Amino acid sequence: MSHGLRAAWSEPLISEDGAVLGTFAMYYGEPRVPDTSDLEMIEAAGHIAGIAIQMERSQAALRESEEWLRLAIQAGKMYAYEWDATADVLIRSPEYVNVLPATEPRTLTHQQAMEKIHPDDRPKFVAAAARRSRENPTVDVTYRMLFPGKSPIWVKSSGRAFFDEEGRMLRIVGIVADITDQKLAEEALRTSEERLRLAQKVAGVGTFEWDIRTGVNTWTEEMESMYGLPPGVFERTRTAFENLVHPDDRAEVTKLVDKTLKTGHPTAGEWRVIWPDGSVHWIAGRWQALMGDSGEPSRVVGVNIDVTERKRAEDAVRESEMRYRRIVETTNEGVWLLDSNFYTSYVNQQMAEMLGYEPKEMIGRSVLDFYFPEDVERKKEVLSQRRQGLREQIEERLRRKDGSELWVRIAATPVFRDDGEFDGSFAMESDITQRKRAEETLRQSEEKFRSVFRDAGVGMIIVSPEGRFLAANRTFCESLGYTEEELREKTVESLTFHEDWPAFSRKLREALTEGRGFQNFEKRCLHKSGRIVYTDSSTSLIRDAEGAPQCFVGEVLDITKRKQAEEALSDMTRKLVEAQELERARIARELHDDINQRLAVLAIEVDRLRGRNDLPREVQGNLLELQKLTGDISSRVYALSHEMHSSTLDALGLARGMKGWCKEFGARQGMEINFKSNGLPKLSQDISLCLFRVVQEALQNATKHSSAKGIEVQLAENAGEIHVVVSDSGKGFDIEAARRNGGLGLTSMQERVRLIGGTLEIDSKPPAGTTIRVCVPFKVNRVQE
Amino acid sequence: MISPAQSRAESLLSAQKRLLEAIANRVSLFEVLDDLCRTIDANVSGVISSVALMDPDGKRLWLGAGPQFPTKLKQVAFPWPIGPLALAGAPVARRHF
Repeated sequence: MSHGLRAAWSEPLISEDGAVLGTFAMYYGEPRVPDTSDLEMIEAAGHIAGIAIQMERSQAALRESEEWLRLAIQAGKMYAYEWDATADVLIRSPEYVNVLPATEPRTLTHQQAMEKIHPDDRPKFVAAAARRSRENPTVDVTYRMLFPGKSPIWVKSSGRAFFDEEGRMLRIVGIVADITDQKLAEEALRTSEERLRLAQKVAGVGTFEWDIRTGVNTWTEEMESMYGLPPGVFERTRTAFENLVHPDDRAEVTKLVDKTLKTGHPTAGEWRVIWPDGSVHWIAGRWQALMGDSGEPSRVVGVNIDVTERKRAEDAVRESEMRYRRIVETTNEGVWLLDSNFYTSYVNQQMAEMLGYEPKEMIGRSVLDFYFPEDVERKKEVLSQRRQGLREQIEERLRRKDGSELWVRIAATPVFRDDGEFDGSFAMESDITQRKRAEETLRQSEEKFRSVFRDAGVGMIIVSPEGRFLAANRTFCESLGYTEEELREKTVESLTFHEDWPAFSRKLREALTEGRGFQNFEKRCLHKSGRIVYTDSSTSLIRDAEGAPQCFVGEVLDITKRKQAEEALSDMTRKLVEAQELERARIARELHDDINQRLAVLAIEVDRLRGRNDLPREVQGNLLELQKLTGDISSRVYALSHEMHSSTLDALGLARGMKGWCKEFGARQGMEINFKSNGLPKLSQDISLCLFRVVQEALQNATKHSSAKGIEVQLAENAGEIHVVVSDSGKGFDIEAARRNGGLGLTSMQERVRLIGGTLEIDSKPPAGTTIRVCVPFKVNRVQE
Repeated sequence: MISPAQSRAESLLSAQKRLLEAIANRVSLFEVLDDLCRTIDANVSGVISSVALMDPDGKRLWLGAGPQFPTKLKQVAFPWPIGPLALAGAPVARRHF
C-alpha cells in the first residue's frame, strides 16, 4: 500500500445490546500476524474503547432525555406514579389530570393501566418491562394511551424498579410525560419530508450534498436517474460527476464548481449529459456552498432538474423563429412589429422602404409617428382596441418620410404573452397607393358621370337587365311625375303603354342578346296621373368586367309636345285627305250622274238629228263627227269619274277593283301592268282607299317619269299586315331631291299611309328602277262591312 | 529486574486504569480514544492503531482516533462504507451474533 501499511488487524466494538459501535484497528508497517499478547492487548483496548463510546452515547441519550424531561416539566404535562408490585396498586400523583382525562382514576391496577395502552404499543411496553433487572433497573418507553372519545396521547414513561435481596421486584417509581406535541411535530416533519421527497421525485428534481471535507458527493435516486444511472451506482465523487457531463460542457461545469468553492456564492448552470445508452439530456443545476466554522466551504448542496424537454422546445422555437425570420426577410409584404406600448420593435426592409426609411431609423419610434396628424386620434382608438384583442384587415394611410401619402392594406394581430398580458402588435402591410390613386380617379370620373346624370336636361335612367329602375335623374322623374324612390319600386314595363310594350321588350331583349344599345326608339309611357307621355329612348348596355350585362343607361327624351304637334298636323292632313276624297267623290258623282247623263242626252240628240233626211250632206258628215266626239267625251268622263271614285272598289273589294283599274290604266297609257295578288281579307274602306290611291299615284309617277315599259304591282296579306309593292325597271330617281322639290305625290302617299298606321318605303337609285313598299297593319275586327 | 514484557504489562495496566478514570470523569470520547491509541502505538513497535466509529445510520465508519494514522490515508479511507467494498486491511466491522 502506498502509505507503507502492509497488514491490519481489526476488532469490532460491540455494545452491550449487540449493536456495532465501531472498530479498533492496528496497522503494521510489514506483513505479520498478531501474537497472543497482541491479541490480548487488542481485546483490552477494544473493551476500553467500547466502554468509552457507550458511555458517551448514553450520556448523549441522557442529555436528550433530560432535555425532554425539562421541556415536559416546563409545560406541566407530566405526573409521577408509584406501582406497588406486591399489592398491584398504581397510584398517580395529582398532576395526572394535566396529562390524562380527569375522569381517569388516580388509583388502578397494572392490568387496568395496560388496558389504556394502545394495542399496537403493548408488545413494545411488555418488552421494555422485561428488560428490567437489578443491574438495569431504569427503563424508558414511549407509547400511546387511548381514552374513549379522545385522540391518542403520546407519553414517555421513565421508571426505576426496586428489588429485594432475592431479586424480586418490589415497586416501580416513575414519571410519565406527555410528548404528544413532540410526536405530532415529528410526524408532521416526517410527512412533510416524505411529501418533499415525493414531490421531488415527481418533479424530476434531484438533490445532492457534497461534503467537501470528505469529498463524498451524495446523490438521491432521482439525481442518478437523471444521469441515466441505476440507483446506488453513482460513485459519489466530483470526478465521477464530471465524467458524466458531455465533453463539450465539461470545462464549463468544472469552472462553475471551482467558482463555487472559491466564492461560496449560489451558482447555476446548464449542461448536457450523455447517458450510458448514448442519448443526450439537458440538466439545469443550482447549488450553494455552506461555510464551515473555519470560513471555508464545508458542503455544497443543490438541486438538478432535467430540462431536456424545455431545451428541445426552445430549439424548436428558435428554429421556427429563424424560418419565420427568413420568410419575413424575403416576403414582399411589409412586416411591422410593435411592442406593448406601440413602439416599433422590428420592421423589415420592405416596410421601411415603403415609408422611405432605413429599418434602424424606425426602431424605437411610436407607430403614431408614421401617421398624419389628422389620423392620429382615430389610430389611437384603434390601438386601444388592439390591446383588447382586436385583429383587423383595413386600408389606411401612412405618412412617408418625405411627407407623401402611403396607402397600405394592413392585416394586424395583437400578440399576447403566455400569461395573457398584451405584448404588442404584429402587422403585415402591402402598398396599395397605386390602386388607391386609380380608385380616386375612377371615383372622380364616376362623380363626373353622376353630376352629368343628375343635371342633364334630358331624362336619364339606369335600369337593371331585368327592367327595374336603379336610378333616374330629375328630368326623367319630372316627365313622368314620380320621385326617384317611387321609380325604384317600378319596372319599365309598368310604365310603358301596354300597346308599345311588346315592341319595346323585343328591342330590350335584342339589346341584351346582341350586347349593344339602341337609338331613338319611340314609345308611349304612362305618367303617374295616367296620361300618356311620348318618349324617345336611346340606351347603352353597361357590362361588368366579365362582359355580363350589368345595366342599361338610358337617355329618354320627352317628345309629347312634338307628338302632339304631329298629331295635330296629321289630324289636319286626314281632314284634308277626307275633304279631298269627298270632293273627288262629289266631282265623280257630278261627272257620272250629271255630265255623263247630259253627254248621253247630247249623243242621243245627235243620233236623232242624223236620222233626219232633210239635212244637207256635209251636215250629215259633221253630225257623225259630233256623235263620235260626244262618245269620246263620255267615255273619258266615265274613266275620270272612275278614277276619282272607283265604284268598282266599293263593289268588288280592293284586289279586283285595283286589278280592273290597272288593266284600264295600262290600256289607256299603253303600259304593260302586271298585277298579282293573293286572297285578301275584307278591308276597311280607309285602308282600301288609301292603298288604291297609293297605287294610282305610284303608277302615274312611273308612267310620267320612269320611261319604263312594264310595272309590277303586288298586293298581299301576311301576318296581319297588308303589303303592297310597286316596282318598275325604269331609270329611278333621287328621293331626297324629289322631296326637296316638293313633289306632292310622295308626300301625299306618305301622309295617307301614316294616317292608317302603316309605313311606306321608297327604294330608288338611278338607274336601277324604283320600288315602293307599303305595309299596313289591319285588324279583322276593325273591318267594316 | 523487570522484563520488557512485565514492563509492558504494567504500563498497559496503568494505562487501562487511567483511561477508565478518564471515562468516569467524563473526559471527552475523542480524548479518551486518542490516549488509547497513543498508548498502544507506544507499547507495540511498528504498529499504528485507530478507532473507527459507526455512524448512527449504521452504514459508514468515521475515524474516531488515530494519531499516527497517515493524514492522506484518512482522507481516502473515511468515511468507510460498510459493505462488500471493504478490503482486507481496511477497518472491517464484523458482527458477532
